[in-house]
Amino acid sequence: MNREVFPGSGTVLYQGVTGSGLPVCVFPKEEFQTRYAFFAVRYGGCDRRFRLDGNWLDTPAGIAHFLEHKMFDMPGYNALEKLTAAGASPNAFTSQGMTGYLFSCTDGFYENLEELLRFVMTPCFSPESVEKEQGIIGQEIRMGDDSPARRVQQNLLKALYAHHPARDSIAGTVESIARINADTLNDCHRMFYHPGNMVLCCAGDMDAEKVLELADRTVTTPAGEEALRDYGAEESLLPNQVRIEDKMSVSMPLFRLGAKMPRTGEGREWARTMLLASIACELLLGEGTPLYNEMYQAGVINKSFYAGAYDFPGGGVCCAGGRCADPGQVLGRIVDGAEAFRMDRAAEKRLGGLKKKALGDFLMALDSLDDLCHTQADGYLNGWQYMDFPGICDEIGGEEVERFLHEVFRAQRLAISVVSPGE
Amino acid sequence: MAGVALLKETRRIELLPGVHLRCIQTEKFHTGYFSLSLLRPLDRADASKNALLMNVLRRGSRSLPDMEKLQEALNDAYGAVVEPIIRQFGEALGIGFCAYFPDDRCLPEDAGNLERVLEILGELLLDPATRGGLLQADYVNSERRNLKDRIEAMVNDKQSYASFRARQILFAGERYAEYPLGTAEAAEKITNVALTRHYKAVLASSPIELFYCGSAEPERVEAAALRALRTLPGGGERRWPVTRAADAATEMQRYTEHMDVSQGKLVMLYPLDLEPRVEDYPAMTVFNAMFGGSPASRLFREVREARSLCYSASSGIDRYKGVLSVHAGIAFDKAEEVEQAVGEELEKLAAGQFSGEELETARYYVASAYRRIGDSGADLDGFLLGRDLLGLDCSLEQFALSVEEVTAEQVMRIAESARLRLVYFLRKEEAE
Repeated sequence: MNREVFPGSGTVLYQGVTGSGLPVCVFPKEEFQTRYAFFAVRYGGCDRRFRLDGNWLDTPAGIAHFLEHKMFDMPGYNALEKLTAAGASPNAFTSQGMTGYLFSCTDGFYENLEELLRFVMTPCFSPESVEKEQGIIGQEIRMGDDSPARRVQQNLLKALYAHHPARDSIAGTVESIARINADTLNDCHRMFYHPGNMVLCCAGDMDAEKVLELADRTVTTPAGEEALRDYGAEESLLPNQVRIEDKMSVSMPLFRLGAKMPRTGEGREWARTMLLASIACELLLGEGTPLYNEMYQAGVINKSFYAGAYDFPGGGVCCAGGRCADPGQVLGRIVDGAEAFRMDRAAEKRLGGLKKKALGDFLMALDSLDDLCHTQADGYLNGWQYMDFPGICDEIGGEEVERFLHEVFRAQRLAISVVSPGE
Repeated sequence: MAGVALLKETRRIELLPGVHLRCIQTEKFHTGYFSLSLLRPLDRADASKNALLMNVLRRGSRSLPDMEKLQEALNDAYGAVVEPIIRQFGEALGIGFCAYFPDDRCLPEDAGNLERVLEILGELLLDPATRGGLLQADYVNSERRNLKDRIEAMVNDKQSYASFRARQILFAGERYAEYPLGTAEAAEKITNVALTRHYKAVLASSPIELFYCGSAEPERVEAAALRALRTLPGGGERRWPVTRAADAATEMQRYTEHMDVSQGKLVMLYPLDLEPRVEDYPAMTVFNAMFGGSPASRLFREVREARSLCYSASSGIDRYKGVLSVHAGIAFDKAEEVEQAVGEELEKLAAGQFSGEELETARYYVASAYRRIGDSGADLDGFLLGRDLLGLDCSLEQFALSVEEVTAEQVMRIAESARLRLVYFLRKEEAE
């Protein structure tokens, strides 16, 4: 395996590839009690339309998440129960671009790892179990429906995009998941769950070679073709709808405003754009900025305010949100603030501080085995290396930050989603 | 147990009268962690003042008088984070600040990050931004508004709202019924004069617990902490808060509350009818893992998975107060069925209807969870302070070992002692 050291920290990363083409990343951390494994698939809520056996296939909203739930079924037993009985804490999640299966444990790591690799690679769906899961996920969807934070975020995506699949919730709707059956699950598993579209990341007190050997022995499915995915035609920079409003049982309005970030490049280049976006947001709207402090002291925003950027396949969003009495006023102040923003000496000084902070955050994140594995996996599946982060951070300059803010936080590009009190 | 052995837990030393420091020296992390907790009883009259105080102090010190300057200093300390914390341990609160920051061993040699961060934390606590000797009125007013908003926002998260409401109903009149942030009405009445008075009383009368985890030698931490606290007023007695055990002899109550929700939230509260003994604590955690506190538990496997009665079902146990609680997210028409199924599972555990394997799985699950606390400075802090407030005297590893020795009889004793005293249901109004 290839051995590399994270800059400035002494954290070691071993990387290798199994015979069937599965990339394996291991961070040995002898001093930790926890041993952590993360098996990720580049397949998430947005990957709904893809080419299979020469035909374009449209699958229902929520199918990646549904598949994640069903993967724990094995012939004659349930892998979640088996891992739990073995003392591990297994879990799984589906994001817009990724499905992740994971466990942490103290002892019995290799046995648990073998089980993890095995169940994720073994499709085992029966019509009865699919039907039962429709009931369970239906309840999960209803629980999500009661979350104002989730609603305000989902509505912003609906406002921004006209047809991108990120408009729909990752879990889908009770109606969309009713269209899922064992055949569609098998198709999706075959399409995406192969070594060429996956990565295994482990951290803790373990032997990297032994992990690779075990993965080599257990994952024998051959690497398939790269899936062709369709997220719809390129959308305009302008929002589909400028304002979207909903009512729920909340104490005061929740809002989230944002702008689309078009995909400019992939891999390291896109990772750089995302970092630029988050630094730009901090520089305009972070706690250390005049704009934040003016709004905070005037009572326009409070500690719940946040600003940042996140991405998903085929897109990304730069956004700000929180709870406040008058979301329209926040929008107005942000637009004015961005327009007036100049990279003057005070801003340059703040940028220096923010880069120091970004470096500190990078170091501190290395203490969290799960963050470490998730970021490494996300980077790997999307064509960049986590350990390049300090280098990328170094490159970001004041001029491009100013340009970014002027372009993205323009009134025409912003949409706002509000959830206000009421029934 | 390599991980635990690497954590050299030094003794807890009295730094100043009523002020104790505990250091864990380790090179395991890239993050240094430090916390300062003022221990207070959870009290109706003070809860809002405590919460407001920490947020006002976080606004700025004399030398870093606003959030802009403060954030600049924190960024300069490589992105150090200093935030107010309010932690609840039964009827006791730990209020104060916690800080995490890149450890000096990963930074340029002369960074002195530990000293810098402790200095900032000390200034926020002891040398706040004031006007005419009072905490600044503009800061107090704006944080009062924010606190009120945070208290009212409790309703946004339906599960925690339901849990809190259940506690409030069953323990009405007791400290345990109070929300750690207090009430919006109480918050509204606090002036900067009253808050300044409270601030002085808190500094003079609260026991103070300091905790550090990182690569620095304990002597270096002691020196930095002493310097940071050099202006701490000497005071009267600093008395530790205590929790009164729950009374299991109250009457059974049912309570339904209506709200516009699409999923019902069921909460069941069971005070434990037993004289709490130190040796019961490990058994409580094992019992809870078997009942509803783990994915291998009865509530998860039987009630959620096998019978598909709900989306979520779990249990928790408050060892300070001696209360078992069950929380479930369910369809509106399933409340009775879920309540009955939960009751049946509890009876089975009380009657010893479980296998040795089930017990073993739960013991292992809990012991591993405790051992893993050593993988995070913040978790260690919570464990050690919580342990002191429980009156336990054992290391993390000793506690994990005692968990591994819990017997079937001990689990049955806990299950038998649980008395259902409240069933609370949050649901949508029935259609007319």
